[in-house]
Amino acid sequence: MTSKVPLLAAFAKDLYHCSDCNYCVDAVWAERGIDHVCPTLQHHSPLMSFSGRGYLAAARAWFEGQELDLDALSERVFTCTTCGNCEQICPIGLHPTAVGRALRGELQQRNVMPQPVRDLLRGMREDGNPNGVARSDRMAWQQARTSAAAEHVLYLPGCAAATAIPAEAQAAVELMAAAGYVVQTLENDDTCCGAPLFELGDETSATSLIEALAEKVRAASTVVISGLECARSWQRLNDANLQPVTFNELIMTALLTQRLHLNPRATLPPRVFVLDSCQSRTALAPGRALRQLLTALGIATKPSVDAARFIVCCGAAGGMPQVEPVAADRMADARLLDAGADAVVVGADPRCVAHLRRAQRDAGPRVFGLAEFLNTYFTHDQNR
Amino acid sequence: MTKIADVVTGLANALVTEAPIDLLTYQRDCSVIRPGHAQAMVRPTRRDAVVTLMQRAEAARVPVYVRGGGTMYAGGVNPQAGGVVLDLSGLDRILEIDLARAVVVVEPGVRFGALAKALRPHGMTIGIIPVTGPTATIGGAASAHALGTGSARHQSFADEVVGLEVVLTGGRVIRTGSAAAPDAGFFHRYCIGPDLTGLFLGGDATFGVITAVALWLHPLPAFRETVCYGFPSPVAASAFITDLQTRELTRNIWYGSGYEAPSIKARVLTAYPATDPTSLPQFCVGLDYGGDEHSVRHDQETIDSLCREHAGALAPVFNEVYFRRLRNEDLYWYGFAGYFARSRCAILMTSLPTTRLSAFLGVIDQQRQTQAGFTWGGAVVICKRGLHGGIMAFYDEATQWAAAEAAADTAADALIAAGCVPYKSGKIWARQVQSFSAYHEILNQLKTCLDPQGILSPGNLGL
Repeated sequence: MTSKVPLLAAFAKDLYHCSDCNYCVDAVWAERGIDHVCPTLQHHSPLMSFSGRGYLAAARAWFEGQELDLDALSERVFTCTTCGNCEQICPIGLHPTAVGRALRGELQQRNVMPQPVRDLLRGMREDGNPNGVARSDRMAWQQARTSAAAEHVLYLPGCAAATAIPAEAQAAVELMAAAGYVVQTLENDDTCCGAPLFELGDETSATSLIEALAEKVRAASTVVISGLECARSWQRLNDANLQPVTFNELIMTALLTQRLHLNPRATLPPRVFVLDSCQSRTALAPGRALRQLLTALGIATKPSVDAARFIVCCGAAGGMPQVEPVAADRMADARLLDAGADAVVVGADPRCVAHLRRAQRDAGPRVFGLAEFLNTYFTHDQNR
Repeated sequence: MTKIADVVTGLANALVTEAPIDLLTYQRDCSVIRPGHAQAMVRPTRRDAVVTLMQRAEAARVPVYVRGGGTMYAGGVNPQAGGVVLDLSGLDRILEIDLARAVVVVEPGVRFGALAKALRPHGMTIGIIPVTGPTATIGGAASAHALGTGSARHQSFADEVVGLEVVLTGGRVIRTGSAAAPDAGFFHRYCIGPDLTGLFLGGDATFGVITAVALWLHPLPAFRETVCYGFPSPVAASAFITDLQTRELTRNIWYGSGYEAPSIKARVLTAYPATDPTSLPQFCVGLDYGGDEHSVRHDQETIDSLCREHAGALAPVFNEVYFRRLRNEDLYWYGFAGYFARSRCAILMTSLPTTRLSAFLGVIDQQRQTQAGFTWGGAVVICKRGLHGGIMAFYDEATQWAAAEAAADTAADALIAAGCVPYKSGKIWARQVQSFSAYHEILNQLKTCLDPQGILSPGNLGL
């Protein structure tokens, strides 16, 4: 029998194995660095229907043929940051986040979704990014450079660095050049990797985008990316011949191998709050690289990398800023509060940095992307 | 206006929903018991909302099912008579940490993990933290007789409760123990006549709604270590545990548990496939020692010697592959995953005298033979006196749900016949509890007195 909800049918094992333990609803476990689980429950609504458990329950009911109020379901499943904490904490390894994405997919197929999601999808189709920046302006930040260096890297800034905080993309190019790389981009061929569509449940379109991007970069020897949600797109592509390196990792290696020399230009902050991204959880390397780099520069970091497994989303992911901007701002405020008003915050992921800056209303911590931070506090030799 | 609307409309200091999509998650707990279908959910953030709700619910004769973390295995929160689910997880304040009295007072929705975190800077802890600690609530544990750790030292969770605040049907609020006296506060449980606290502990919210719990505090143990002992038979293990308890050697044992042969074999052979299965013990006892190191070492020597007297020996491999991990590496979590990692599982909790250990294990073997459609397992937790036992039937909920519920009921009868008694009653033991006629008659009279309209958690405890 063909299921009426084929995207959910793929998760039937999860739906019947979920034991209603509620770890994905809320948990406090100091030994594991867990201080609550679901940012949506904390900052938007405490109703369990907004949690991973709620998605599993709704998916099972729908899978079993119950008539559900799809508008109400849509309001709930599109208010997920897709941070994945519920999957991290599930004691039996189920996939509530993925079930939530499958619900989004089923709802999209029935054209049931909140208006901001429609707008976001239209923006992705028309502009090729989730930030409302015209396609033609995507690479407007780029400046012509000359270089005598021989080693080429192809830089894919990702939508956040390219269209929301272009200064970060620009600074990244400068630093890579300072490290002796000839930095190329795809110019006007640079496109989204599909991560926002994947998070919204449109896996097919997301896959098309990353596959198209992959074909454009296949000839490059080294591909460098800034966005950590992009890193997850490349992981999903799972092409052994295409394994981009994150900007964080490239610069950390350049510094440690003395390919890049940085000299303080201002008094360094004694301690930096590292804003981990929930997107980096499946690939901890970018967060570790960021800490390693800052440590090598004599800057203490907090919190410890061990906490990276349970990162409560800052509100940037999953379409949250568009669907529930007030809740997304509350999530950002919570992360800024963690950092402290006097802190200097360095984000591992440009999307988080852009969101925190947008959400920041009053005086608070200064929030940097890594490249901007390094360019603000350090000088480097150009074109060595 | 519907009766439900009469009860929930305009309730202050509470989140209310009647949306069917929201109510899907309030249908059941972790048990095999069939779900119920409430018409509304109320999540108060202040006690006043509970008081108002109980007044209105009694007037409208609308059932109220009380829920904490929803991690119990007995179906007590399943709203089988419909009505309102009262979710107390929003009452989550730690009201008082009184180090001089060694008492902490909390609202019922405080999660064990949050309380442990708050107490740590004071160098204190509570005696019992269940395997579901990160997400289970204190009120839920008090209401439903949570099992949990520490029972070898502290007996059971109920014994760690100093007193309660309870909202009765009609909205009357009482405090039990010493706190019943004006301005006295919680410092002693057994005073002013009979132990009214005990009426509500394990009462599955049939007599009242717990809105505050006072618990004893204990210093965090400075030293911890796990040790496992293997025995050639359950009889030998039972004699060892009996000696351990009657000689009162449990003061430094924060948790102790026992494992049957199939469990030992599965865990050891998974880690070390080349092990000769005939070399494995037939029963293992794991002890989690905690306290002053000198005192622990002293007790450990005595208990090692006691183990040898009962033909036992240290079982370091089982300790390495399972028990140490359970207690130290994946505290709380691994135990829970161990129950549910394979599939959903019907868990039946029971209490038994230590001398009945072999009979309890015999019931598990009997189920394996007579109800072979399920995979059966079981384990015991060592209390200060007696044991708690758990029987598990792993089942596929897509195809075996009703059969698994019936299998658990059959196993419950077999446990009663073997001299075991219901623990964590909820709905899973309701029929058996009803068969204890004199006892159940008293429960019924108490119910009539405290809840004349029968609105609180109908069906729990067979009431």
